[in-house]
Amino acid sequence: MSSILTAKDLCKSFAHNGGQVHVLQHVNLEINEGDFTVVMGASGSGKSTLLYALSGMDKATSGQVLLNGKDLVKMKEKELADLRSHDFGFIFQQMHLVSNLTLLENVAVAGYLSHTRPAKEVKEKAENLLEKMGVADVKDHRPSQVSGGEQQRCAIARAIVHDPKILFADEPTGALNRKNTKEVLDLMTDLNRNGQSILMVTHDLRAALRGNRLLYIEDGSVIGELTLPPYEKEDEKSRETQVNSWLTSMKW
Amino acid sequence: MEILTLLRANVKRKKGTFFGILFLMILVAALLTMLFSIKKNVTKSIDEAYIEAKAGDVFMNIPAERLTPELLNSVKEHPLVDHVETMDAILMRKRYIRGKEDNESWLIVPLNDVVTHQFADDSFSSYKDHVDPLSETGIYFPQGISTNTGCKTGDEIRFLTRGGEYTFQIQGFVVEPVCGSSMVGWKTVYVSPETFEKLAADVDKGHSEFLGRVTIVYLYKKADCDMNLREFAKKINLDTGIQNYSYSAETSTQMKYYTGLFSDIICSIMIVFAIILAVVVVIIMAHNISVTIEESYTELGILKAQGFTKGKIRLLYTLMYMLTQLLGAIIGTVVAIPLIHQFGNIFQPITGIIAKKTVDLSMSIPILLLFMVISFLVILLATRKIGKISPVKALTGETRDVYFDNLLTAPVSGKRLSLSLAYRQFSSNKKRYFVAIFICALLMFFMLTVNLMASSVRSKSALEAMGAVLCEVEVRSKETNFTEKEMEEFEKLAAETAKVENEYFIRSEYVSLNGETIQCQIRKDVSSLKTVSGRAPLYDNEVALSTILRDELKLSVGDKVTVARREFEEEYVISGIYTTTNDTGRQFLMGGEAAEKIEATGYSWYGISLADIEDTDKMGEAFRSAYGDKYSVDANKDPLGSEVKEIRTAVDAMRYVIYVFSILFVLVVVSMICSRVFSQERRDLGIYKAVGFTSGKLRFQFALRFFLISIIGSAIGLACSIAFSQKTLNTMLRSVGVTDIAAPYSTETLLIPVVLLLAGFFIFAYLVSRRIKKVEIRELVIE
Repeated sequence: MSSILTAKDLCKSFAHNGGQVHVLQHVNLEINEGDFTVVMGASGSGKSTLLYALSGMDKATSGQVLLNGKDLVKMKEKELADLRSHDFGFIFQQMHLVSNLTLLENVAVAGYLSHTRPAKEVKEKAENLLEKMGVADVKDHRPSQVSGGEQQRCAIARAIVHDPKILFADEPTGALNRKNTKEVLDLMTDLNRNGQSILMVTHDLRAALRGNRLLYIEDGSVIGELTLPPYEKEDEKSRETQVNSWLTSMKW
Repeated sequence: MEILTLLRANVKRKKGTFFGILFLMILVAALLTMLFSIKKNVTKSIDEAYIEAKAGDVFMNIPAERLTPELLNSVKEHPLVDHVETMDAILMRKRYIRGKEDNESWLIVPLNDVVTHQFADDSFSSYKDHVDPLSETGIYFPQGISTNTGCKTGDEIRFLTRGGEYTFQIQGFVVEPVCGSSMVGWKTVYVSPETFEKLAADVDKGHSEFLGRVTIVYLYKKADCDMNLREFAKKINLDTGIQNYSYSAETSTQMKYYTGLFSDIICSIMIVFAIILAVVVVIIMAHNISVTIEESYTELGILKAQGFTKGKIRLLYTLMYMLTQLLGAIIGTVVAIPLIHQFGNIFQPITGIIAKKTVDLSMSIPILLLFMVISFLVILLATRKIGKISPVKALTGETRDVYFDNLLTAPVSGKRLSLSLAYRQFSSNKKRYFVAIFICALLMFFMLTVNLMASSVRSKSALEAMGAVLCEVEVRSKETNFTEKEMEEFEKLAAETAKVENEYFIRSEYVSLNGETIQCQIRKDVSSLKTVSGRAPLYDNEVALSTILRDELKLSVGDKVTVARREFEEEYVISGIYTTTNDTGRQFLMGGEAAEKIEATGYSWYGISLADIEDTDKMGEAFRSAYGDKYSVDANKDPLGSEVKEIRTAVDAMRYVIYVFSILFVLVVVSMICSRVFSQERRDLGIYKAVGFTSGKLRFQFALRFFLISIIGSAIGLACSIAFSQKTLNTMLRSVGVTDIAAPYSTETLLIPVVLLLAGFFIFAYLVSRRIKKVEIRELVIE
């Protein structure tokens, strides 16, 4: 599989109490096309910072993040905005849907912005995606009128409406109950099966099981990696044992 | 102590809001204090100038030959008259100033003693301590002449008498309270006693209606007479008939009124504007309190949980806003002091009197206090909902959803994404923008109203609709009235030269109407007169009354009036009511045949109103070549241009002041609302950025939202203007005779207010939203 996103010698530091806190330290990483990459680690290990840096949400202090040979670290705001509207999709822990837009509009707006399809087609695609996500019946509701699970499914639809090269997910199940968590993870697994590259940060073991490549980060460095076959429900038990054992070896 | 701690913290946290209210309050307080002070100072200065000049209660100027000793004695011996003073003068209605003909009525009087008069320096900003006696060719002027003609010290004035030509040089300016204002048709000018004697001897060689000897008569009312001056003047005239012989007769009340009229109107309009701005401040404050309470729902719940009572929290809000207002009122009042010094004498070119520059707080303080009392009540109302906040609900985060469905919702369109999103942001929470819409509508209404007033003094058709007679070409006789044959020739020549819309032979003079001296306009042809009720006075026993006179004298169509001129007296029937701005609307009108009954015959003025003003020069030239030697011919495409020049300038200045203040208010209002919206939508902005919107696009969308608000506000303002501007202006301008203002909407009228508000809202919202740049997507992420 080819690499779609490469981090080279990536560092991120914050000023703190007159000194510097090094959150990411010389991270070298490749995200491969079609992978469901999961980043795990303890609180404060730097996993979310890695996600921001790789997705261009936050600028790295030094190093490079290369997408199609272009360095995200050096990109201007407009180029980064272009990237977000064309190549990247985001799913947040708190869903973050625009509260005065309906679910359908939340999805469609992200599609309109990419200008890759006529507006009519974007709307049709948004409707199809919402149907696929199982929220077609509430597509004209506002976020506050639907459940957290429905909101997150809408957020996934929004993240993929413009066919991004890579989907970033930051604790996508963190705010969901058990039932909604499973539904959301199933949707993400389906997307990955259909070729969507995903980079997900999570604490949740159940979520981590869906990945085929697991990275463990500690003190700002990637210290471990586990490769798994693509997720199949039937293998979940053995997968869980394998991941647990790996996490134990990482002192999780 | 706890209140003070919270007070300090809240002010610090919301310093933008409090600074906004403070700034607006400073503007309002400064404007009100300055305007009330200027208004009062002008009135006071006119009164003091009258006292200084020892001017009488009634002023008349009577042709010398008509003022017989018997007539004068009958006045002197009248039981209501304390004493009478007379002064010889020469009436001159035509001269050349800097080579240009001028036709205002001048009364030339000898300056016997410079000590009894006040003289101004050349800049007319202060009184002179020392004045040289007039030289043989020197002349002292009131400021009003300089305002109307543009002449300055050292300029030359030339005029002819039967005895020869006189050339004078303007030696300086005299403060002349009775006949010195540019608003008063008569002007008093001073020459040396020697020159006066010489001039009088020359004038005696051949009198005319344009150059002759007159006597200025001042009547002084007895101290124990409890009549007002108007009743006093009327009673004296009814008993003695003296006013019937005079060119004009005015009470000091009327003259002071005319002198201060313009400054009074302008100040009053600006005060109304300042009060509207004060209302805007109250609205902004109420909106602010309401939004702050919604925003601070949880914090207020915490305070309640800690033991703060509803009363204490309301006291906190009251103190925050009232102290801000009080501070603004104090700073604004202090700021007004240099402004009064700077602009205190702004009306001097019109009043001709140097105004004091004292700060007068007698009106501004009560109004500011009233305004603060209203603010206090508004705060009490706006903070009522604090009582309904439950600590439990607030702490568990149970707040109302901000957004709601409504009929105005329109789908978000992919083709017009920014516009449709901007509209959605607006329609989802209209309540938040009501205040901006209301303020925009209010400012638009006021700007349009003032613009309509400005365009009404610019447009010929508007002025004509208000009763003004505007003629591009005027022919004046130098000495005698036109002959019948000449009048026929005029009409023929005019018709042959260009298309004539209207032509007039007019004679105006002051006569007695039911005992009161009032301007009477006599027209050869009255058929073109437009009346608001009844019809034109077509028969020789009819007159038409102006709307102002109808109301003042409580007369109506069909009533009879007595008109007296010299020894002639006649009864007429009122056939109709018309509007006019002449003589501040106090005028009546009759036809030539009706005027013959009181021996007011002949015309010395002919005016042509052209269908196409481009024919002005052609028509002027035709009359100049035919009658230039005998009569004076004026051709002017803007016939009222010079007469209303000062008024136009002042109205324009007022417009610009209103524009500046409006834009400042728009800036503060947009800034305050934008800041609030920004903090409320910070999360949404982050989301938009996360899906690929740039800061520039979001700022544009933000600005578009306020642009939409300004469109709605402007449309409401325009609708209100169409419904109420005319009525508002009629009320405001009634004092100058305007009872039915013709206010034409034009591109010019609409353009500046619309552009100012729309661009103001758009640009300021764009500028204020620069903080969007600082919104980071990572703010959306929970660590």
